[in-house]
Amino acid sequence: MKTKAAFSYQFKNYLRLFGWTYLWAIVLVVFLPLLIALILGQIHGFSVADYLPRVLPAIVVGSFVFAFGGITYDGFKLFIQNGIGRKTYFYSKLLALSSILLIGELINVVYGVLYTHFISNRRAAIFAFSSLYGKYFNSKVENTISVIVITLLFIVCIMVTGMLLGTILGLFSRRAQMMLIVGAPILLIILLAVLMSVNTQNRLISTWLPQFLLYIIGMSDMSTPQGHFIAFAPMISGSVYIIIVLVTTYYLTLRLRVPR
Amino acid sequence: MDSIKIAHLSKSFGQQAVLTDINLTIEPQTIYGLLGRNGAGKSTLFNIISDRIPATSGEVVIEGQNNVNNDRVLNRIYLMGERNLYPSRMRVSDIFQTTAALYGRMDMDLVHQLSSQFGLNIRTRFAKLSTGYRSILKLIIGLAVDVDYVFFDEPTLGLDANHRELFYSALMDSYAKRPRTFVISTHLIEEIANMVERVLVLQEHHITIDETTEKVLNKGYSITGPTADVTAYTAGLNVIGHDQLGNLRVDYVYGQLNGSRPIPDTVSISHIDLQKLFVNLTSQEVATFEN
Repeated sequence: MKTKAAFSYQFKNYLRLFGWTYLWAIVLVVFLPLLIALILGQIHGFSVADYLPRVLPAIVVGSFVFAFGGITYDGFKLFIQNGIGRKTYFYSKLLALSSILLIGELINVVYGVLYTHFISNRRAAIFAFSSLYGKYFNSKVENTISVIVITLLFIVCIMVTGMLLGTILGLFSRRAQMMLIVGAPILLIILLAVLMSVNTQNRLISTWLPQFLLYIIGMSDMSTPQGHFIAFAPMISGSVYIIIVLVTTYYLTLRLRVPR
Repeated sequence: MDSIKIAHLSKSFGQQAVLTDINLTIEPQTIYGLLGRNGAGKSTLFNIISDRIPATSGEVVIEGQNNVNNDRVLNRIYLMGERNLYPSRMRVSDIFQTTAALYGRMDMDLVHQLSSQFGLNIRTRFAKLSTGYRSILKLIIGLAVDVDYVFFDEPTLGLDANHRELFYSALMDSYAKRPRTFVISTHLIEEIANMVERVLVLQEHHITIDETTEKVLNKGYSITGPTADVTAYTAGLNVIGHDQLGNLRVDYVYGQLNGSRPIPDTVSISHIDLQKLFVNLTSQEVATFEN
């Protein structure tokens, strides 16, 4: 297998694109409001913290791995043209994106520490999931580690979902892709409307479904206080989801072809 | 060096059979001409060999290893196809670098030399290239990448006569310096006739001819003379086509002539070129499937 060459190529490519994504995010989220404030003469009221969202790195890394995880067919075409098969393409892409994810999360942690100590006087938690799972264990170290793991798993879930959707789309022609992209959300909205109507009529809330959803996020019952949700539940459910989605994506990747 | 062995290969698109039970050995260090009419399945065969599409049945093997998702096998093959698989926004220089990185071996000196000879601007983005220059880009890669098997599917698409000459010359130079297998599929048969060592003819879903060019040409005859004399002489022979001009008739024969049959004084016999032979061999076939 040419995994090393394939990974090296993908990683360098993703790293460059990740840098550009960050640059654009900073320009759009930070500098554009600053520029507008400057033009409108309201610069004296401008606070960096107001325009520097705490979740900026999380949004950047999450949207990056979802979007680039979803771009499947173009990468496959380039690799098969260069004598690299589907399995190597899948593994190298997964490894390269996971590496970017780790780098992104590292930036997120560093940014979170800097943000809470130097940028904002609002003492927000470094990780978003701290408010849900940050007090499950008695030890602060254990709580921190568990929240880091849950956060990573959550972003991996986003990444593999992007990979799965991209691979499914890669199996279809451009026309069928457009139909899927337009049709699937409409179908989902209809399904949601039907579910809501069922909920009104048959009290869906009393069925197993909401109980199951609460169970997989670690909220054993509605009375669980904030920060005390069961930390192992999202770890297990997240891992199961990732494995199922990755295995499905792998087998769908083996079905990619040129021409479609 | 090992050959590519294709065994019992079949491919159908829905109910439409394109290739049926193809058995073929592609030898190392040989230049092949793959001939077939439009829709005969030449591109499909190339796509299966390079694992771009799966076969319906059968297999492609190098060194005892199947080609499907096998980097060791695929890394020894380069297919220059009509389809453009490079990212449209990628610059030509980056495409060369990417190929070198992923194949691991590429003669960059030759890349720059050929780019200069063809007048290819390596700073241009792929999408901005004309059809001819897209072909040139892929031809340069095909000649410079260090693989054992290069498949050229309509390599001269969009190329003017000067660039075609340059390509044939570069191909022969490259072959002399580093012998490897080239399989060229083209409709410009007369232009490659002098360089191909073996001829493959794909017809009615099968490989109908797989022989050296010399043998194939030695089997092709044109029998010219008055209609009555020509038809009498070619009776019972494998007549693959004919031309008629008034009472003058030309019968094209593929195969052995009847050595015991006397040749009338009014009849002349000569060998025919590859293009004429191919046209007559395949003129009965009506290709209906385009891939």
